[in-house]
Amino acid sequence: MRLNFSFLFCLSAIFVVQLALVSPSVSLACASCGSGSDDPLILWPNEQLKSYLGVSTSNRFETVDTQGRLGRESGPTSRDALTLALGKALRNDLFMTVTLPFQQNRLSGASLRSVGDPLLAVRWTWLLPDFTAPQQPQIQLMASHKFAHARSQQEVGRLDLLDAFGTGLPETKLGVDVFWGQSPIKGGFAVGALFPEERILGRNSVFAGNGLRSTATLGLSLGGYNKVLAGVVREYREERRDGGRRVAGSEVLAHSYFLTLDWTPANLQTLRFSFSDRGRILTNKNMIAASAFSVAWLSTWE
Amino acid sequence: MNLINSFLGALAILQMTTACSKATSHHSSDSQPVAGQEQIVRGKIFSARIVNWERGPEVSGDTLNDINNACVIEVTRADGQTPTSLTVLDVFPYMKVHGHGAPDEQITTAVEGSRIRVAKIAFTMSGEWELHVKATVDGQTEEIEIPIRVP
Amino acid sequence: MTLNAINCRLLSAVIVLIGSCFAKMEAGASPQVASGTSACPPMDRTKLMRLLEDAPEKRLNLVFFSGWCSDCSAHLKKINDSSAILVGIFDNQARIEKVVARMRLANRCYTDSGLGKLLEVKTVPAERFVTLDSLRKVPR
Repeated sequence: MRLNFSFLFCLSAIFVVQLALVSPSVSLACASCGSGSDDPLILWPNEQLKSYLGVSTSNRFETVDTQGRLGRESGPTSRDALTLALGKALRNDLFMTVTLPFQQNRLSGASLRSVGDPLLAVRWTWLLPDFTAPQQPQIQLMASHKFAHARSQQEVGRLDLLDAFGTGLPETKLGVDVFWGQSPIKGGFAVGALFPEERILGRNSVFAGNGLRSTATLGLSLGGYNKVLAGVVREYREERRDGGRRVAGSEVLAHSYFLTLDWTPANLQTLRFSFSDRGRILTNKNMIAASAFSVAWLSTWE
Repeated sequence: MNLINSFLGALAILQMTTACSKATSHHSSDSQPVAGQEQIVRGKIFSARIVNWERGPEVSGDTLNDINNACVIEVTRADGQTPTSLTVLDVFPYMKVHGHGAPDEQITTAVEGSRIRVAKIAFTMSGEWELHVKATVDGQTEEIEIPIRVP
Repeated sequence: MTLNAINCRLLSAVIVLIGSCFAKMEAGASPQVASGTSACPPMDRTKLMRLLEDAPEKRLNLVFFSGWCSDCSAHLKKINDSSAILVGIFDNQARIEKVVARMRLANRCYTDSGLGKLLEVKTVPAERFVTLDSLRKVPR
């Protein structure tokens, strides 16, 4: 985690912009709202069963090479997804979620659909926040596993790559999510260690390299259960192995930012609007830059 | 607390491996090929060098008609002599830094003396690629990787 | 050892330190209650029935709250009915007792033990006025 000046400057800038846009109103609980941007569904302690239905579209794909230069790529110009997730509380302080994306790749009028990589996640709340001690954060330990169900770029059968929907590599994540949500101005950070599995894909055994995904989030309560969150995500992966050998210069560095607006039009119902841009801030290497917009409906059933 | 300690242990191991991998990395921009000026690659049996890009290298389009990269590879024996026999077994592009290749069924090859004319090479993105050439030279087979920078 | 790895380890250490400190604070901040008694004992339907029978007007105002809900803080401060009963829900008894002790609330306090489900409390803060009759009508 290198928190250099530009990183802090960027974070501060997002914070200042948010302050300028909205003024803080009543203080609201934000327990379990989490500061990670990768788990779509987080359950509050009063929620037993919760669903997530989201649609998203990603575009503006550009490659970032070993020297950090932006370049072109062929293949789909838009990747859309319908994401379903279901969360179930196992205890007051423990919940699990299952996420299943249905994806559609588009390219000049043509499109293909497939089920993406399912995700199974568990979160245990080590420490709940306390409104009599607002300085005390919520601390959650998180573990997740992504199953490599979808066809990867190594396994495509089409020249236009329309049939590539996943990474092809199963991956386990272990991490911690720390969040201060008891004040109108909220914030936190999450750090997750990424452990992909080695697999034979195409001609070679491929290992994407262990990684570290860090997220810093700042947010504001907008009154009621409404809030706006902004954050920066940094993902680092060590050099990949190809055919058992390390590939020099293949480490991945990816920075992205996200803006999320949670609007609660009815009790236990939330609409979430999110925008994220990956690979276009700070230093990046060996990754694909992309922009994404999503709208999701979160509903608590029990 | 045991669970937390286990988690932090895993984190520490990850960080150590990260540190080790960085310490052993000798990546240098000097070794990166410049588009159209690929260096000679020396194998145990034969050496190869791209002597001419007839088209490209460039990022390919999405149909067969948009895949136009074509080059000429000159092959010499490891001792520098011109081979008396040359048979091409396989040619395909691969992007090691991203861990994927590109469609290669459309690639055509033709041997002209000690040169191999390769056409219809697909590069799906810009960056550092390798063109794998598996050939039998004077009865001995070897696969070598020619680095290519696609702008 | 790279700067990256050093920073990561430093971060891990900071997380553990923060967590441990707050965990100790949690453990050490138990409410001041007489030994052998609970400040906020569990409350179920039967117990509520008994309380209602003893209540002067056979009716009670139940205020449901959680220790993690910051909105509950303002809500609890506004209670001016000394007979209102606080019911901690979606939280554990120790934390509920600690919160009530820290806020120096004089109201009687209980920890939910199935009552919230009966009265369909799904979010906090929430208030429910119950009478003997209304409680009898709630299906078990």
